[in-house]
Amino acid sequence: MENTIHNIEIILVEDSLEDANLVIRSLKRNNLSNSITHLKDGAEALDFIFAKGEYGDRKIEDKPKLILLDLKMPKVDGLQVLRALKTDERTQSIPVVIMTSSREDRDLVESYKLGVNGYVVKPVSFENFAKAVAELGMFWLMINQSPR
Amino acid sequence: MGLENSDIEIDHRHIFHAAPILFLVLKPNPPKYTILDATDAYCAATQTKRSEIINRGLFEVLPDNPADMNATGVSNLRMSLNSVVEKKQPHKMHIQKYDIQVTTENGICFEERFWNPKNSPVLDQKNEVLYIIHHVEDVTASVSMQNEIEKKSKLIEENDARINLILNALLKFTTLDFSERLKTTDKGDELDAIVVGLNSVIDELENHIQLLKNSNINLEYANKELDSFSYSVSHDLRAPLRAINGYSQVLMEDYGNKLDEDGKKTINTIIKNAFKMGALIDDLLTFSRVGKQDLKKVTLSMNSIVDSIIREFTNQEQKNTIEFIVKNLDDVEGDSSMIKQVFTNLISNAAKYSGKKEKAIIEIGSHKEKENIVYYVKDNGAGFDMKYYNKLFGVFQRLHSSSEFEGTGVGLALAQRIIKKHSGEVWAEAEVDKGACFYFSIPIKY
Repeated sequence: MENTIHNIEIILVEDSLEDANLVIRSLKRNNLSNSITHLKDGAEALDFIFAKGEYGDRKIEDKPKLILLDLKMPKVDGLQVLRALKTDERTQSIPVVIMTSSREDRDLVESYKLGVNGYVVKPVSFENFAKAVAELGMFWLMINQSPR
Repeated sequence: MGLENSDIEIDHRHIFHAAPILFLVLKPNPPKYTILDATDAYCAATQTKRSEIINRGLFEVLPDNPADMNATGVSNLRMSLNSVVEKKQPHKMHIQKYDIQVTTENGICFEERFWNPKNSPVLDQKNEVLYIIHHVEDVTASVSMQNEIEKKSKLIEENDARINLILNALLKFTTLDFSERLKTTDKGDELDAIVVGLNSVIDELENHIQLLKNSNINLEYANKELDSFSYSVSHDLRAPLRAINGYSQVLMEDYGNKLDEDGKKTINTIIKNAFKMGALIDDLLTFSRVGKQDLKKVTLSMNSIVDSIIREFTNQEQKNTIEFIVKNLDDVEGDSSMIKQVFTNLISNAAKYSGKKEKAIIEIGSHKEKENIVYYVKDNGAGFDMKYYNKLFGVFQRLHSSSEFEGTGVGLALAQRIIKKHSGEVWAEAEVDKGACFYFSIPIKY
């Protein structure tokens, strides 16, 4: 079961391929890259998580251990994805960490209202960025206990 | 006319005429009531001549004022006289309005008069009424004084009510409720003038408030625009910077061994500058965010704020080279995180610019000055030339080159913005190479 396609560990929802590669690189560096799935926008994320469209053969019950969610994305933005996740009983227990470019109070407040599990501002410096990603992955994959 | 019970001859008729009272002798012949005689005083008071009124009917001589539709003088007097004839008893009347005819330049007209008449019968031995004595006093003066007093007190009452209305309206106006306007009366007096003046002040005030509201709406709109601008700046500028920084790092890690020293140095320069630009954007956003934020005022323990900043400092390398002298600081009301930001900026500036001294001394103190508390952060560092003082608090303005001292040039501008928000002032004194002293004041109550 461990490393099959049905046992996704981390979902990264990020429209910027460049940022996504940096995140994946940081996770890899810390051996946290067992199973990362990169989804390119909110719409794809919703299809994947709720097993619709091109991900119709998935099962909603195959929950990832962590969703890293960008806020500003085309089509469906991060807050909309978060709302969908946290208002659905089947998915509300999945830990979601917002990773965004800027600290905007209104986004922060809205995210926590919706029940986000973490909110991280991506630092400009790669070193800090890598460290933040690594710590995040470490905490949610190794330390935190989620209901299954 | 003749001797009666006395030797002395007395001319009663003469005495009667001269008696200083208002008497009229009437014949009891209703409805005419012929005038038989009158005292001089009566003739004088009614502006008549005895010769012209004798033997004429009372009401022919003294008719009602035709201009006074409510005149009751004639009818009341007739009733009283009738009752005297009937009952053979004196009758005292209430005060009567009974106007008299006077001759003026413009001809005959009536003048207002008030009287208190008393009619008494003169009886013969058979108890028949021989005459009626009509006795009056002219009470016009006291009645008109009474009327005047009543009129005045009525006016005072009315004016009191009007003043109350004005005061109530003023009370409403103080809450900026301009829904009603005061009404003037037809009196056109000083109170009406006050009402007119007040109404025009209120009109003017209402206009201005409307203008303010409109410009507030515009300001809010502009603020929202600025808000979305800073939002996209923060998001959109940081993302490419992260890519520049990150991929330079990737290049360094993956291909570093294929680069010579110059190549590595070049990449490091890229990384450093991208990082610096990130810091600039962050500082600028903090700066614009402070403008939007509301103050959360509490009483601040300034010493504990400063101590916590210094504790964070002394964790770093400056630990051994900086001596902090913190005086007993006055507490003041302000926004905790904002004031901490000000002290952090001033103290880190002081540390930065005295970093090249062998022993840096930073002194922090305060004193009361009039209605303010003035705080200062003083160092013995590089100082600056007072010639460039006007650039000191400008955003992105720097008095030292980046190679000399690192920085984005936002720190002091931010400090100034925060203190201005607290209705205070920021200023500084400095001398090149001898150090600088930065001051800020906060009103004790604002």
